Amino acid sequence: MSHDNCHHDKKFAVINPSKICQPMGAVQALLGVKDTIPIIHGSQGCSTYMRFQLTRHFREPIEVASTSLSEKTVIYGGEFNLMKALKNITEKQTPRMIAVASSCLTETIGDDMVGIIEKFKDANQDLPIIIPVSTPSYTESHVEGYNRTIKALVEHLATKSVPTGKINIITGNLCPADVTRVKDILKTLKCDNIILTDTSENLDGPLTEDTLSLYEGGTSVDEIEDTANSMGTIALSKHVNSAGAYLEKKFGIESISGPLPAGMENTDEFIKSLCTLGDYEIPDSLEKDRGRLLDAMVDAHSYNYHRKVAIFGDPDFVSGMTRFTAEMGMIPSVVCTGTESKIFTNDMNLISHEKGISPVVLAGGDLYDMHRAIKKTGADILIGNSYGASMAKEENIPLFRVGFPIFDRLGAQRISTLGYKGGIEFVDRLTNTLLDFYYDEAGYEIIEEETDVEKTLNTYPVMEEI
Amino acid sequence: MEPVIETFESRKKHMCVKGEGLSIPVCDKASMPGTVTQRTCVYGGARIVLMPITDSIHLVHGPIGCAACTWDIRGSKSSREDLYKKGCSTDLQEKDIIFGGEKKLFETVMELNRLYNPGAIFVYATCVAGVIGDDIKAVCKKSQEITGCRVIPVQSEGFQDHNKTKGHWIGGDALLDYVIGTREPEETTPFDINIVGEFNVAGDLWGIKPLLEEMGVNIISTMSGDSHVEEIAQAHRAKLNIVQCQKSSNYVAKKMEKKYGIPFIKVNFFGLGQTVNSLREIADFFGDEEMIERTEKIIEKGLNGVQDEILDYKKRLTGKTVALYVGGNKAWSLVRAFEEVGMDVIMSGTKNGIREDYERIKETVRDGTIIVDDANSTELARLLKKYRPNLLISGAKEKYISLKLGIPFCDFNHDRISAFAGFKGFISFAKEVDASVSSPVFNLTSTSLSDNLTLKDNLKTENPLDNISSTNLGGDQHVP
Amino acid sequence: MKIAAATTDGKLIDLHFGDANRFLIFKIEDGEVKFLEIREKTPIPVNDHQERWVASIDLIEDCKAVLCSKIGEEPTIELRKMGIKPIQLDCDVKEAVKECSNHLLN
Repeated sequence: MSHDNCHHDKKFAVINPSKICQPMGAVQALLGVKDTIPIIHGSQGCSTYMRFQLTRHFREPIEVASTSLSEKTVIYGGEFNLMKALKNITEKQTPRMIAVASSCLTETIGDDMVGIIEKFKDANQDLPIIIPVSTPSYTESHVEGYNRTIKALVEHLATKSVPTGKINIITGNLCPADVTRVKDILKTLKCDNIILTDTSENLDGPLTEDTLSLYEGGTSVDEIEDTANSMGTIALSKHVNSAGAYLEKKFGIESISGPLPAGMENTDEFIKSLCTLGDYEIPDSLEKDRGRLLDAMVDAHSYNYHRKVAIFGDPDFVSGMTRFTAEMGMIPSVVCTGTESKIFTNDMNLISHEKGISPVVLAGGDLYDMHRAIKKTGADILIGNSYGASMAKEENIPLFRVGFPIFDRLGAQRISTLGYKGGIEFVDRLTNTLLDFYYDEAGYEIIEEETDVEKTLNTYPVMEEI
Repeated sequence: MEPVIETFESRKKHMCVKGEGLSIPVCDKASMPGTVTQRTCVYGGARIVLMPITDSIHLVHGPIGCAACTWDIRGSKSSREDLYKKGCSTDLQEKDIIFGGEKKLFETVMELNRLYNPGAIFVYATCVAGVIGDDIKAVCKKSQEITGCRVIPVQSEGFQDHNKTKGHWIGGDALLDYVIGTREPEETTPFDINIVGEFNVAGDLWGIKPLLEEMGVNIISTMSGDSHVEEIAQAHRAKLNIVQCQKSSNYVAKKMEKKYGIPFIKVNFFGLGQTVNSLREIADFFGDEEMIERTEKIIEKGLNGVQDEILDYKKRLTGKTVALYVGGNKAWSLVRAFEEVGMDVIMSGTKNGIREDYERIKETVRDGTIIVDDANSTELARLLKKYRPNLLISGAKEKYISLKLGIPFCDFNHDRISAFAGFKGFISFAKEVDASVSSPVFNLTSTSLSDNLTLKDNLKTENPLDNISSTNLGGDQHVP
Repeated sequence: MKIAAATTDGKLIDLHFGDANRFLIFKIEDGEVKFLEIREKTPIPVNDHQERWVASIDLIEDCKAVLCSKIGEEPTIELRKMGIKPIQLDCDVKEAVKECSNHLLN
């Protein structure tokens, strides 16, 4: 496996980022919680631009409040604005919970959010739960923001009472359809669960006015409180396990971290993990689903074999997809994630070794780095978000859209890749994308050299069809 | 007086009805903390003014979020370079926040210059860069001296003001202070102009430019759609600035008048009447008889090309109502355009309008129109529910509020995909408005499954033969 | 290029800018950090807050940056006007000075 020195011509600039900042991760986590208002303690731009990105991706209204800091607050601190914001919200709305995420601005000026919130609570009654989350945008990325938020929720809320035998599932930032896939597997296994956090309803809402109010769907505060009583926690992404580690330490709840259930092996692994935590019977239907995934992969194998694939996105998604596409017989040529992560690099080492592949691995890379790498190693298809479109066009390869954000196609919240069922969808869609692009209307692979061959054959008479 | 809708006490004065009570709404105030504001920040304001300059690199000096969320916010099209589309950031990390980011900025600028050899590198200050005291001006000066490339500081710390208008001015200042007047054109003509305030969203500029060129004017530069830095550098030699009235462009035009004595006239190319007026005003300014004659011919040709095309759309749109919640300029300029397709504007509002904007809106709309300032999501939803327009015109973040309420929506912001300016643009405008207002999907929205089942049950109890006799079997040989 | 550090024991940055009675001065040569000298203030009555930080500034005016555990708004503004970067943190002196030198534009 080669670690290309992706920085051999660029060391400082980030060009076309493939990561976003921590507060975005916080918002993504909070969108899966019922009856909750997320606030970003920072300037207006933060919440508005994040809403812009989220709105055009999900094609749903997204509500994130702001404490609207101004020049004055930078000098005197953001206490006044935060107190005002909390007052305004609690006066006019009745959420069960308010979560306040910090921004680089408020972290840099050193606002003591915890202190301010305590002060507010002391001065007011009948308040909803208010939880601060520290998410400075100058370290790590949105992946960590998500992680910290789940940890903060659990830290503040998890309360021990009667054991429930449930399993906590920390999803990470998944497409809502994938959350549904995971929930389906749990249902099939008759595994009682608490999802942290469940975006499957909130971000795929029907066309009714109700969807404009506080989320009725999603994980409830009660459920988060109940996480202390579960018998185990599985984090689907290795980068969002802080809450699991916390629950293990404080309440002795066994915690398992990753891998993302993408593809056959990882989904098997996920179900195995569930079975180590609890006694679950594998029903026939699940075996059938697994069999169908295998069937789909075999049906598709001749079109996929040795196709080079380049993948970018969040770290666990990328490592999961690398394994999955390698299972299918493809060759991951370049993989890139915007977050610098040892876990990711180690995972990639392992997968490369197991599968006998040697992709260029870019940890903490941007799309510029990725494009350069693709130019060197080649790729037949690119898997990633909409920002890959210009790269794909330039290299004349198709882009398979998955991840965040996807704003130039519809149904972003309905693209699933996880579990056996999601895997089947993925195999079909990906293979069909290859067929659309590389095969003609009669089903033949379009070979570039053909035109040259045709030219030399011009001298020969055309064979008539009999 | 009954408030327009239920909301916070302090917000009630931000809405009014023309002809009743408050003359114009209270405006230009900071958004209330805790609301879901539709407003962005000063950095955003600066970026959208400068971003369309095609051969420039836009480097955001701050943590990754600012660049990552805004890298493609300006849907501006280019006929030439696409450097402006790259999302560049210094990605400040914790150590840079503590120890300072100037060195990293310097190295980043040097690197970008080496990689792209751009017409200019615009360096945007973000909130954090301001707080930690990085001297962006000094770094830009130094790197410009070394590289010879234009490196232009844009002091756009996000928190500076509640209104992104300040950002527009800061973006304008970057051009005025560092670009305009730094290059002499090779030749000048008596009909040189600049187009100020045209960002070529969805190709709008390409609906306007051919008309102007046919008239015989020579466009030195456009600020800033589909432009090159060196073109804008020569802008000071124009005889006239035509200004699509937005706060950003007025500011630049006024300053250019003061500094270079270049007069400006306000123009508007949205809508037929306004396009015609604008072309005539430009021709009248130069007073050249041949140009005036040519202009009339262009107008005639333009109008002829449009009338038949829009008949169909107009048929369906006449009498329908529309609500506007847009930027300051469009909140009044679109009113006429909608009247031309037969629609009635019942509400007009802006996120960050100032007094002038609301005066203008008041003049343009009819009595009974609601005028709104800085509505947050909740208020917008309430307004839509109460007044139920047939169409809402706004931007990406408001789109789904409208759609969820079953109210058709048309994007008039940077996400727009068709050009609306000029004569041909008017046809696309009518087409897109029609596609939103008249789509049959909106007839389905108010029905529910349970309602439909109840209806079917009711039908079942009637004599089935009655139903058959009432359907048209004409020509159908099969017996049901 | 010189960097000043406000430290009691030379190991940790632990002094308030105005309160510091002395600064350790480091010189950066060819990327290497070298200890140059200790500069002491002449003792002043404690209650004159402004004079204290003015005296601190006087001591370090030829430096490009000063590391201290805390610094007020007024001296920050003054230092920035002079092109000196004030940095607030509390950690190991050597590490801080090295990191600082990596971030300074010469």
